[in-house]
Amino acid sequence: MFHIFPKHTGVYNILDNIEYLELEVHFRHINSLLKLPKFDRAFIDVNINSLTKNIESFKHTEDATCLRRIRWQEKLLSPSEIELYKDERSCLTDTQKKYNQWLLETGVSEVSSGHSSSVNEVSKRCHKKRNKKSRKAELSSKERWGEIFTYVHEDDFNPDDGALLSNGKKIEKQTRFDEHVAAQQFMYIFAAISPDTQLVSLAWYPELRQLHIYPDFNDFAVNPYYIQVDTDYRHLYAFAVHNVSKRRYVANPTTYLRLPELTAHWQEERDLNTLFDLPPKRTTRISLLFELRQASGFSYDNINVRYQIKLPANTILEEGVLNASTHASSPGPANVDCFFGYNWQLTLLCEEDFDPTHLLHVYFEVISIDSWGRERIEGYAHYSTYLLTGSKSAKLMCLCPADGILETLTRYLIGGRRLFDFMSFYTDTAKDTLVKSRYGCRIKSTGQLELSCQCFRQRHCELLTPCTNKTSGMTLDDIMLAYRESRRRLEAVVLK
Amino acid sequence: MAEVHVIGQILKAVDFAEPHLYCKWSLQSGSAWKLVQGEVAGQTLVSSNRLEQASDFAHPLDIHLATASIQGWPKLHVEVYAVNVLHKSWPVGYGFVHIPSRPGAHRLELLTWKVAPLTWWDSVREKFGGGGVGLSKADLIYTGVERYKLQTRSSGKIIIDLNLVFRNFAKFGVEFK
Repeated sequence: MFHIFPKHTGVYNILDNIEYLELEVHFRHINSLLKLPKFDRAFIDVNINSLTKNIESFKHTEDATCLRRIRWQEKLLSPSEIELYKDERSCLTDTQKKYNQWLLETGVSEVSSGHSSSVNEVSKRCHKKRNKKSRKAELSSKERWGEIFTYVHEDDFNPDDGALLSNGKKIEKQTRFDEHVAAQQFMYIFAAISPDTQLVSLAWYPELRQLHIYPDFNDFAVNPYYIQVDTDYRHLYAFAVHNVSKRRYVANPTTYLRLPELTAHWQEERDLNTLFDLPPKRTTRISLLFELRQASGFSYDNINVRYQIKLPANTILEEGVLNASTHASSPGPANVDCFFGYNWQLTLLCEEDFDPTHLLHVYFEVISIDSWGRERIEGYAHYSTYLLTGSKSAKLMCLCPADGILETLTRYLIGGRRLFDFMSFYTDTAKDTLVKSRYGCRIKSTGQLELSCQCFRQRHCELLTPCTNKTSGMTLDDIMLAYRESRRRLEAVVLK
Repeated sequence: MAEVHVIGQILKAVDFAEPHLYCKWSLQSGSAWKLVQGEVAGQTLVSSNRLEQASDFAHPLDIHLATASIQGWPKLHVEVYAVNVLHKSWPVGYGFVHIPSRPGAHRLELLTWKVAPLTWWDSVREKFGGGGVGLSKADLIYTGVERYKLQTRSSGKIIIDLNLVFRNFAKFGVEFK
């Protein structure tokens, strides 16, 4: 006999436009398992003098196979629909009136029942123009009568339990539960046999970009689906559905399986300046994150670190402070280091004339405070960095002028701080000569500081800002500056 | 707006003298930063370890931030508390650290400190489990310019594992490396 293949739902992720989906339905009425000639008097009369009568009859039997190509949401009218819609009085909705108009224009009202007619959504638009081209399209669609008809989403068709296959129930149930999939579209392909029988149901979920089809695509020659209808006697039909959509190159595929954009109000705004705080024109914003982690090796406890920052030329302090001090810290019971864990952020604006070879200097002064509130200098340190992006950490050796016996006694007994221009000591380039001699300068090392620094920057590139009016505010100087900046960045990338 | 995903965990506290610890944490950032999803403050469980001087928290962090500026870079602020058998708790460590400015995996070592006892009586009370001195306002941990009057003692370290995902910064001309 024949083998019945199980039906299952096919789920397809579609990147392209669903409008380009095209199916081919292969439907055949199996009269008998043996191919017998079918007696048809009319056909025999036409071919009365033909010796090849039997052969033609065989061909006619083979022609019971119906092959139909159907595009997505293409309407094919059933015989009962033609009967219904050809009468204008029975057309209530806009869709029904549209079908009626189409039937009138194509003259389908004369068609006997048992045939169906098709409405091409694309050609429908053309009908309104009433040009010759559209008439040609109508005539071609008229020729596509057959046993297959469709219900499209516009019909608002709800298959009843008898007509709906199990997958249809599944889809309906899924629709109830998945309320977020609100914009799904359905399409049903039916066969105009008695009674009308559903062949295929399709559901399209635009948000998921998924097409569900039941039963799945198959091959008529290999695994056709069978329908058995028991009326006065048993009818057997076989059908298959192929996907014959043309493969297209999708230049910009729809964003599938990407993280959803935030539905915040700021995403509706398109101006980058309002979306993000950009630095002023022809400037670069540089942000430095410092962390003074700990101090170790100092002779007194309860030390605090006071820092001063000297900015390079042609930079402006936008946010942060240049002078501050940390809290006073002493070693704990479990360790000998003084933990600070002190973080601060510095934001600078570098002007156009800023030279990246210039350094940013940070000077540290380590001070201890005893229980009597007397301060003592524990050491000085210095850190300099280029304003380049990246992360660095350093251990800074602290230095202090060496004391004599008297100074040592004074420091021990009385405390206090001696005046020492440590900033000039580290970075006074004005007094430097060719040979930098500090022979007479007695310095001792006292302890060390642990510092880390992270730097990142933000450029104001003209190319980043969408220009609605290209003539507004753009001068030749601006263009040349942007060109120079781009060239400089390109060179930096190439030479890296 | 640019976005930052902070995903990770507060792994453990090490080198604390007290055995039973928990910590409160919060994320502080500038006014241009907004929380999109997640929690910016929380509290871990109380943990102790009999084998080593560490308290394992493994407290998850999953924060999604959006920002309109690079100023006010977010900082993770931690307060460590000790608990005694009477369920009395007192602060034993304060600290804060900037979220790293590079995407990827990071292990942070947050150094904490606690307020030094001001008087002899405070020292005795701290020594015998009566609780140490704490800050009256939590924002004193990370604010202030002249902080030298705040006398502290080194406490332990908090180990934090973070995975950072940055989004749209390049679109606004921000370069991290």
